[in-house]
Amino acid sequence: MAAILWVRLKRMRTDVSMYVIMMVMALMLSFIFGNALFGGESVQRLGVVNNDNSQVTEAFLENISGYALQTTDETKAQTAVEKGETLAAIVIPDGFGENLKEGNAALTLIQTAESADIMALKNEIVSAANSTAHVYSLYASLKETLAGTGADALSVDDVQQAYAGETGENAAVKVSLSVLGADAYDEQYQANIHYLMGFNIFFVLFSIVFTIGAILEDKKFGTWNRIRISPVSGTAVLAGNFLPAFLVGAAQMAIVLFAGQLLFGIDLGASAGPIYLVFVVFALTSTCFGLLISTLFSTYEQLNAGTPVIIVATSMLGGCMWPLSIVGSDVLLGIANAMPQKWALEAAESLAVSGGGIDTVSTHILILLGMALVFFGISVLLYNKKQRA
Amino acid sequence: MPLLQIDHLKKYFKNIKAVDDVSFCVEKGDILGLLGPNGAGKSTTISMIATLLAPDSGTIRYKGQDILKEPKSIQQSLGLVPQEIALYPSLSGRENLIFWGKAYGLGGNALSKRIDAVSGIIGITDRLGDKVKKYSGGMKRRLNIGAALLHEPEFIIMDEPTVGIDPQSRNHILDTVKALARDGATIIYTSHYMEEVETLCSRVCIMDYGHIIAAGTKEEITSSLGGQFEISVKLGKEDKALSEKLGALGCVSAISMEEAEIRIAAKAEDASAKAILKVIAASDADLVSFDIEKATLETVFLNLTGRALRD
Repeated sequence: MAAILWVRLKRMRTDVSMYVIMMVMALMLSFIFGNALFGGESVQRLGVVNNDNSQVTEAFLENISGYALQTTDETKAQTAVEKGETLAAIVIPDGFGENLKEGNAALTLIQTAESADIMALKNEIVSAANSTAHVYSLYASLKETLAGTGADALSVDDVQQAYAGETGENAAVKVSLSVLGADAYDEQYQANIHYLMGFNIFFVLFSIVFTIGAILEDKKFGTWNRIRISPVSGTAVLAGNFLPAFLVGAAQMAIVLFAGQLLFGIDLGASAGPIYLVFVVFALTSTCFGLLISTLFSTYEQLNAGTPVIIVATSMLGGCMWPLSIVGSDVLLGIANAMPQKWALEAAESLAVSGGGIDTVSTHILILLGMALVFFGISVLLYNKKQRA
Repeated sequence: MPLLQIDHLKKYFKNIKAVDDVSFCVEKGDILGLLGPNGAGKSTTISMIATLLAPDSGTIRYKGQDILKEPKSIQQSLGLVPQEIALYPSLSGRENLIFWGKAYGLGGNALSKRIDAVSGIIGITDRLGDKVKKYSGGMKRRLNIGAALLHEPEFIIMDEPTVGIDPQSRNHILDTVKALARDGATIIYTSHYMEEVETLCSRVCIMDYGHIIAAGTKEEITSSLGGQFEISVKLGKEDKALSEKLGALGCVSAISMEEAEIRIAAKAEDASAKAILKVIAASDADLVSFDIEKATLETVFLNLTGRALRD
């Protein structure tokens, strides 16, 4: 193995620029996505658990302005509020629409601690409820007044449009807001944490796969056959290629994590150690993943063409580019469970915002190690099969 | 007991019979030439000997041991010079040699001494520090040979080691092969250059379409023609009609044409040359040269296959 390790490390000198580019890209995209797209003045997200689905409720939701509404279920809404992914969530009970028309509606607000944002949200909810109730009240009155005059074609939309021009005060509708508390983490979710972790995971895959892909480069250089008949065993060839890829991955993740904290002012505190441990496990899983890809492809050219497609697709599904909490499809969320990126990212993010210890993500680590074992096992089987061919 | 004994070796790739019932042996100290055109089955044969490819049937014994069951019995004492350059272009010549030395368990002073010795043999000592990607084709070929010699193999396989290089490098490689043989190495040398095989090899196997069509020493093989000579006719331009007329002569046993050159295997009699010259003179062909040579391995190949080695 020493010979293979020696030659791999020598050859990696020419790859330094690639590793630097991967690290810079990870930091640059973390900055762009974390700050420019979702930071600053962006619209706040509000979870909606709609158990009513009446026309009136739909109109009520349309009247809530200034928030990005995300339909979800109560469990996910609670988690999203706790993680800070959404400002709060409203749970609309069955019959809400009918009650609102009667001028007496109740709904539940899932929120963390009181804040100016929450106060503003409550005002917006009451305002939207009032507007909706008045529109329907006005519509009912007008319809009654106009009955038999030939103006039966009057619609709620007509009233809504007429109402939109009104500025006068209306009689307040009674809106009861019961608050369901959520155990907020100590630190508010920050988009730049998500993207720092996500892009770190995304770009390290390129470095790892292309480093271990040197196995295929041996075929390109014609050295493969000479190695095969040398006293170097197949196991030593695998190990000699595996170790540099793993070390490169672990080092890159550490550098990006450290640089990201400095550049973006993220204070991971005591979580930095456990997060890095998760990343080391992920580097191991990714190296096994890279080994699998390298054994699946026959040439280095195929690896070059196929790797970006595989990494981008699996990373998108794994949530590196956007939080999985905004994904509504159960199918996509199910597929995400098969991606190592999902488990590494979820564990790292959880540690970053909760400040918990490594024991809090032990399931994630076990899953990553299990995936590593599966990838490695399949790779060795394929490698041995190709050796015999 | 021969050093290498091959019996009824077969390798088919789907319907293509790459190697079909090949048998030969190599004695210790031999330089065996495997001669044949591209696609004759030479590389497939040596790939099986080098344990890179499993045969469909047949046996290969090295020092009496079946290498299909015990591949390590040959691997440690084998030096393989593949036809393709098998080096790392981004590493220097010395780094490449260090790697291949390490792969065979060499290290420290022993490795340094072997690198010095090998680089001297292949004549690239002054360029060892340069990256291989900056080497000329000939230098890469030489280093490619050097990488196979570091562990002092007693059995060396060279697969067309002089393809596509300048005459100076070719001569150096041929001298290297001779020097290795003098030092006691046993060598299988494949080529489609008849001159190289004639110069280097003590024994020759001529292959075509997966078969061995002639085998023995050069003298044994050429004498099998029963005293023929080879006539090379160079014309100003290609003339198929003339080639057909010459082929119809009774004294001509085989003929091939490549562009404006016609090669003829003919009975070694004055009358043969006269008859051939008469046909050429009667045609309106523009004769550039007319050479009569003793029968060579090329003549044998032409006689047996009706084609030149380069076809």
